[in-house]
Amino acid sequence: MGDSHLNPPGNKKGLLGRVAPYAGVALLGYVAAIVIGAPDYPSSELGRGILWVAVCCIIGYMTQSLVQRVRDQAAESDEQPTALSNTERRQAEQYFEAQHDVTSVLAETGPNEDAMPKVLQALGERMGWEVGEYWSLDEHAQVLRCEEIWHLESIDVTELEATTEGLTFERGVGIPGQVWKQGKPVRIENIVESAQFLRSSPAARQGLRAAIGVPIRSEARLMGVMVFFSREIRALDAALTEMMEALSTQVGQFLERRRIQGEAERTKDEFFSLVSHEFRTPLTSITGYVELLTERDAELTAEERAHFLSVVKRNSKRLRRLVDDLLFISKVQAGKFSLTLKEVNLRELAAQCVEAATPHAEKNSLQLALEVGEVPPIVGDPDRLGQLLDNLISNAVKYTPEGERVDVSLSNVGDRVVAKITNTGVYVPLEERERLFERFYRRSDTTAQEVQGVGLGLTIAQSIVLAHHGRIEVDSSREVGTTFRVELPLHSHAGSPSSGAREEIAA
Amino acid sequence: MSAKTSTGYAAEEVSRSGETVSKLETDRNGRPLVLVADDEEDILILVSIRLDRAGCEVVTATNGKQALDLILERRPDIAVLDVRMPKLTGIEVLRQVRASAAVRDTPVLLLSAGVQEESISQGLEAGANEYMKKPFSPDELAARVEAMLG
Repeated sequence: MGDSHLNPPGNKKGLLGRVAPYAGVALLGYVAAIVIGAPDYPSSELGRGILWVAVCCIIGYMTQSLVQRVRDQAAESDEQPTALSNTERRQAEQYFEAQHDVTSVLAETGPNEDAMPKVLQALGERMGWEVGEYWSLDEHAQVLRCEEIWHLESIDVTELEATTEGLTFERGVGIPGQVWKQGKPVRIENIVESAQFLRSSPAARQGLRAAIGVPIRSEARLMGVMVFFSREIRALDAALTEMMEALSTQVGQFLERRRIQGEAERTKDEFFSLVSHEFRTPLTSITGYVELLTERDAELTAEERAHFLSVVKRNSKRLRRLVDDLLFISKVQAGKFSLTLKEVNLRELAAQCVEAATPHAEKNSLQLALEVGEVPPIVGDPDRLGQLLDNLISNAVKYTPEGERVDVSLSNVGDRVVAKITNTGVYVPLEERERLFERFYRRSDTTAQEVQGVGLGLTIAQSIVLAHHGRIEVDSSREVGTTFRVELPLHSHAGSPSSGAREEIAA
Repeated sequence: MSAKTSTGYAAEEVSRSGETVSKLETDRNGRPLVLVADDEEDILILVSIRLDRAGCEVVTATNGKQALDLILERRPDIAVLDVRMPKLTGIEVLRQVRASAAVRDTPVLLLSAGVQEESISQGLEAGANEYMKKPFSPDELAARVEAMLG
C-alpha cells in the first residue's frame, strides 16, 4: 500500500488511472454544486442548470489542478530522494571511509612519527582534494605556521611551497587565520576572487580554485588548522561539516595526547640527568677524598685526615638522603607507604630542623627565625613529620637569595596546627605554583636552576601532609615573598590510622 | 675570589692557592697556574689539593662568571671547568674563552656530572681539549693536566 502511494501514478496506472481522477473530480464538483446551489436562485430550471454546470466546471477544474499539484509534489518528493540517496549514500560512504582512513593512520602512527603528513594524505586522497597543508599554532607567538604540505603527484607545489615557507598567519588573516577566527570549517569556492587568500596566484597556476579549512582542536583549545585545495570542493553541507568537525576533534585529541607524552618524556629525561648529576656529585667527593686519604706517599696531618673524612661522611649522608627520597617516592606511588603513629611534639621537631638549616642560612647571609606559639602535641609519624618540616625549611633556605629572610612559625588554630614557612625575595608565578608539587618539577627561573636537587622535596612534603589528613598550600606575592602553609589535624588517625593514610595517598 | 669554605683547613688551602697566587705570580718558579671552577665546594677543594700536590698554582672560582673573569685577568696555563655552574655554564665560559683573542689558546679540561652524551660532543665542539666525567680519579685528573701542560 505504502509502495503504490510512493510510486509516481502515471508510470504504472495506464488509461484508467488517468481518467479516474477526472471522473472523481466531476462527481465531487456535482455534489458541491448541489450543496452550493441549494438556495432557489435563480428560480428557473434552466438558470439553475447552467449555474450547476458552471459551478461544477469551476470546482472540477480547481480540484483537478489541486490534485495534480499534490501529485506532482508527491512525485517530486518521491523521485528526488531516490536520485539523491545514491549521491548521498556515496558521500556518506566517502565520509565514513575518510574518517576510517584517518583513524587508521592515527592508530598506526609510531611514537616518534609525525602523524600529520599521513592524515593529510589519507584525507586528500579519499576526498579527491589535491593539496593539503597543516598549520600548527605557535602558542607563544600566537601565529599559525605551516608544518606540512601534502600534494598529489600531478600537482607542482614548488611555487606554493616557496611562498608558504616562513609564512605565518595571525588570527583572522588568510584562510588558516580565518578558520582560527571562526573556529569552524570554512570553504572558499574561488580563492582567486577571495580577499582572504593571500597566496592565490601560485595556487591558481596549478588550477586550484577551491579551498576548505578545518580547525584542529582539543577541548576548546586550537592546536592547528588543516587547509585543502582542489579544483572544486563541494559546498559545506551539514554532512561535510559534521565530518570535518569529527576529524577536528579526533586529530586534536591525538595531537594533545602526543604533546602530553612528549612533555612526560622530557620530564623523565631531565629527571634522569638530574638524578645522575645528584648521584655523581657526592660520589666524586667520596671517591676523590678517599683516594687522597689512601695515597701511599701522601704526608697528611691528623687535621687533614679528619677533614677529608668529614667530607666523605657529609657526602655519604647526601647520597643516602637521595636514595631515601627516591625510595620514598616509589613507595608512595605504589601505595605502599604507611605511617607509624605516635604523639609528636611539632615544636621540638621544628626547632631541630631550624637548627640543622642554620649553618646553610648563615653561609648565605640569611636570617632564619622560628616563632612558636602554644602548640599541643599531635598524633602523627614523627620521622615523616620531621622530614616534612626539614624539606620545607631547607627548601626555603636553598631558594632564598642572599640577605633575605626565612621565617618559620607554628600556631594552633582550632583542632589544627598550622605551620608557615615564608621566604622573602622569592616570587613564584601562579602557573608555576600549581606545578610545584609535581614529581620532578623544578622551577624554571635561572636562580632556581642553580639550586641542587631533583625536584622531589615538595612532592614528598605533600604526600606526608596528605597521609596525615592535612593540607598544604603555597602562596606567593612580589611584596611578601613565598609562603608554604601546612595544616595538620591534632587527631587525624583516631580510627584506622595506616589504612587511612594509604587511602589518602592513593587518592 | 677564593671559594667560600666552611672549615679552617679548606679556607687555608684555598687561600694558599687562590689569594697568595698574586704574590707568587712573579716568583712562581715556573709553577704552572691552573684555574679550577666548580660550584661544589668539596670538589673544588679536592681538585685544588691534588693539583697543588702535582706542583701547580691554583686559582679557584665558584661560578662561570667568576671563572671567565679570572681567566681574562690571570691568564692561567690551564682552566679546569665544571660544566654545570651558576651564572655561566662551563661550556659557555669555554665558548667565550675561544672567542677572545687574548686567551683563545688556553687549554681547557671540562668536568661533567651529566649523562647526556651530547654534552660531551657539545663541549668538544666548543673547543675543549679534554673531557672528564664525574666521579673522576684525582690522580687521573692530575695526570691529564700535566699532559696538557706538555
